[in-house]
Amino acid sequence: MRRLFRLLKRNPAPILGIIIILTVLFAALFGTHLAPFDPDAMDLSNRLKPPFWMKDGNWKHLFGTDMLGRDVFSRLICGTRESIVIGISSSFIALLLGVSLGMRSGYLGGIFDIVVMRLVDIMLALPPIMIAIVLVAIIGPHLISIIIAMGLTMWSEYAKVIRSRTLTLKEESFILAAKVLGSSNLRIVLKHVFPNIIYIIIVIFTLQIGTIILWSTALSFIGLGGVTLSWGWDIAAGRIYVSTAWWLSTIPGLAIFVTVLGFNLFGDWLRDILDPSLSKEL
Amino acid sequence: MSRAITSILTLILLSIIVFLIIHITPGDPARMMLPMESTKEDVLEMRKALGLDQPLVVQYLIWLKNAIRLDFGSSIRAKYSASKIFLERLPATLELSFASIVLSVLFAIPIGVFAAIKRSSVWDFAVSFVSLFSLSTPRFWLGILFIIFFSLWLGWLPPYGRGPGLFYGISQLFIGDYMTFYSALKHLVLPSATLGTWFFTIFLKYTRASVLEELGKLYVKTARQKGIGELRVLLVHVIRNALIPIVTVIGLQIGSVLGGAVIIEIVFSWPGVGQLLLQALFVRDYPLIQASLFMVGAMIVVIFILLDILYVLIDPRIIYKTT
Repeated sequence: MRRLFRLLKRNPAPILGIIIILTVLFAALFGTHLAPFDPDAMDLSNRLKPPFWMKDGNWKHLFGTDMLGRDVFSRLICGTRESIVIGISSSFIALLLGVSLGMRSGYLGGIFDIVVMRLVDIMLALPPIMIAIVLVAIIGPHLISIIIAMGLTMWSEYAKVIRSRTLTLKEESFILAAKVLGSSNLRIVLKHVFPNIIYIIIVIFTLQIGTIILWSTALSFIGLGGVTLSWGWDIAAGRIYVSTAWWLSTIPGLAIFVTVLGFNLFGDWLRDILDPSLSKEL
Repeated sequence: MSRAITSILTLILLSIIVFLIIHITPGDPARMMLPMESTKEDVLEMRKALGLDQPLVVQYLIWLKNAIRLDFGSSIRAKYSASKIFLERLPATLELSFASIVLSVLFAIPIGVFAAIKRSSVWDFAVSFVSLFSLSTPRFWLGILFIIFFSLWLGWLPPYGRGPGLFYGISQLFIGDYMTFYSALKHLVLPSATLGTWFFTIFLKYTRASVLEELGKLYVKTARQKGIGELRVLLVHVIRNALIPIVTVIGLQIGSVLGGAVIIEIVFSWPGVGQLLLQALFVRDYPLIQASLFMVGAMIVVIFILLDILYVLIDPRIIYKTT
């Protein structure tokens, strides 16, 4: 614990990351109750009001109002939920797929390994957006399409790294000892391999949330998200007014930037303390 | 070589998925193409005409045969060849992607080399700082910020569109018309700068790491001891060896570049394939969707094969390494 504090004193950057992440999670969980206005409440007499620091602005609508008179600040807070939900769910799907396939691939090898690795190469070659488009073409523009699409995009990163770690671990003496003692493969994997790779999993999970948020907000920007209360969508909606009400497209983007920065700061720090060799592979 | 095989496998897998899109989607494709009042017999006839009464595998093979000849049928909306529509729009997307890669590489190499030489200095930290920020920025938002700043507030560059296009602009140069080329460039700057930021940052990291690794190698120390000047050592040996990852990085990031191009095209109303694909998606123009997805996949295969060739040219030792 004390070592942790000493590390943080030398490089305080991740503290900012942690603060940002906690704030964002808080907003995602409780935002709808804490937002000053209903994010969907329209007030056409109050359209396109600027943020509080500008000439026409007021403190009632901190970041101004949009083209339908909705409070930008409230939409910002409530939009957090969509990004975080996608970020965490997709990262989880990627984790489940990637870790299980990667571990099996590394530990058992064989045809399974070859097939999975070819699949990984294919997934890494394809643009994430193509996978999203295919899913939207089939299922339609819904939240679930984005979540699945992002999960399918990101699992290959897990698979590659976990597989190589499993390959190395396989030759370790304690694994060989367990085998000699008659442990089943499943038991070895769960009791010996898994605890050694859990640190990597945590690092990849954290860093992937940032990337997923970047891509998923882009997808809702172009309209594939199916949810209208989201940062990406608000940026798209504000584009027509960019010459007059520039804050509509600018402020939600700032939210995305800060959120992703938070996850990246924290994730980079986690990687540096848990497993620095990852920076070569990630 | 391995990548070429993977690409072809990718294409086959992609073709199967693209083919299945129509068949997995809920709803009968025949009924969707006919007006509301059609009778059951009309639907059956349509199914026969579309070849939907054949077993799925046969349908796939027929589709694949046509796909290889680039025949995807006519776009439902535009009423002429889907692949032709795609090919008309392709140059714009290629121009954008190519320009952003070139820009990124041009800037990333000197900065990366510099950061590696001045390791752990203020400059190096500044570069790491900027990289972190850049990797956290959504590109489409950055594009809008660029538009606001450079077009609306400063008025230096056009906010939307492609203008005459680089290919036309270059061809006009030959008859002494500079203005068209200039206009094409002006339209190209913001979109390619926006699209390029991600690639630039990743490439910067690779260059810096690559140069650092080279600097630590034995031959550098040997050259220094032989008395060869620092600059010459740098230019001739270190950088040339550090360039090999360029091809690797392009291969790894090409998906991100093409995917990002789709989004940047929306931001800047760039008349490319991305816009086309999205519009087709929203009106459920299946022939066009299939044509676009398949041909983008084919394009990626071609790019990978070209990169593999480039790889061998830069470092002939690769052939020996892989065999």
